[in-house]
Amino acid sequence: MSRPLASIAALLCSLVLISAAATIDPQTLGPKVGERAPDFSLRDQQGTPRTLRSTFGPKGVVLVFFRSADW
Amino acid sequence: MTREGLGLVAVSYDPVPVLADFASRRAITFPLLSDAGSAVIKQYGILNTTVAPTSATYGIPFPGTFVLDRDGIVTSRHFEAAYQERDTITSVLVRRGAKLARPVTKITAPHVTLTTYATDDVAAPGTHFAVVIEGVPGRRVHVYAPGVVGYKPIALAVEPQPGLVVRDAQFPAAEDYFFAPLNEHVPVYQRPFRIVQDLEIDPSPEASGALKDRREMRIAATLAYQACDDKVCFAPQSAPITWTIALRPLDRERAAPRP
Repeated sequence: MSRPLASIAALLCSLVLISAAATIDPQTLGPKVGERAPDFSLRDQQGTPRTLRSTFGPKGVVLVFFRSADW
Repeated sequence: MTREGLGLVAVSYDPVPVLADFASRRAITFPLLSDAGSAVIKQYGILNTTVAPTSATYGIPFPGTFVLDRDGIVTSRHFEAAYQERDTITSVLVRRGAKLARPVTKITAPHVTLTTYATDDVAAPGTHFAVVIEGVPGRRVHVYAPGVVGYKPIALAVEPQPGLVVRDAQFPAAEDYFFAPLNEHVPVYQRPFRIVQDLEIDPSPEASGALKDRREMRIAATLAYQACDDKVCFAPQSAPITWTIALRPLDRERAAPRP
């Protein structure tokens, strides 16, 4: 899919999602069991860039997404 | 968790200084990653789309937890509908089959050595935790597993009470036991087994009245089972069990205002 088309599709999807807000089931979102979780790089609390991969222990990692540390 | 060989990392849409402040207030040493702009939250497809883009809270994810193996493959995941809800790390580990170094209480019961513990000492509204019962059948003794017909299966009944949500219990896979005199196959536990009962402190506004000013919650349950050895079947038993969990209110502390 070309980039403009993809963004239009994404926009339409998000509009549908917003209208269906009350019925979103987070269980259906994001990587599923058996799928690979994409790697990424973000700054940690010291401001140091960290990849997801760098946080792994020998057997993997517990990756938590939380709302906010601010409120 | 380190003993389990797992790392721990947490991602939010907060800027680095908010995470730094939070980490120092809570003495957090594991990485808190700043996804300001929510690119990763969007990449993962878990942006909370119920928040209006004009809102200050736009960019938050649906809160949840993924457990990844060493290759980055999701081995388990947990997402909740209400923001207050979250699993304790200890209950995540227990559901994965980990052994926790928790103080255990012995349950007085015949034919089976039973011990129990709660995964956590403290819980707040929305906390998902678990109670664990470990059983070791006596010599040549078996107890009947869930699904057995003609005998009393092992069952855990948690007494309902306001403020407590009783969720699913995990029972291990049963072993097949062949009883020759009756030529029957029955599902049993004859080796050490473990039951994990998921519980939650009810985060709903209706429950807040019941939980208001409570410092602790006493949780009571009955474990029913029937034990037999290779000659005799003993009378069905029911063992009372209690756990006490300290309650704390939902944390509403914020970062200090930034200049």
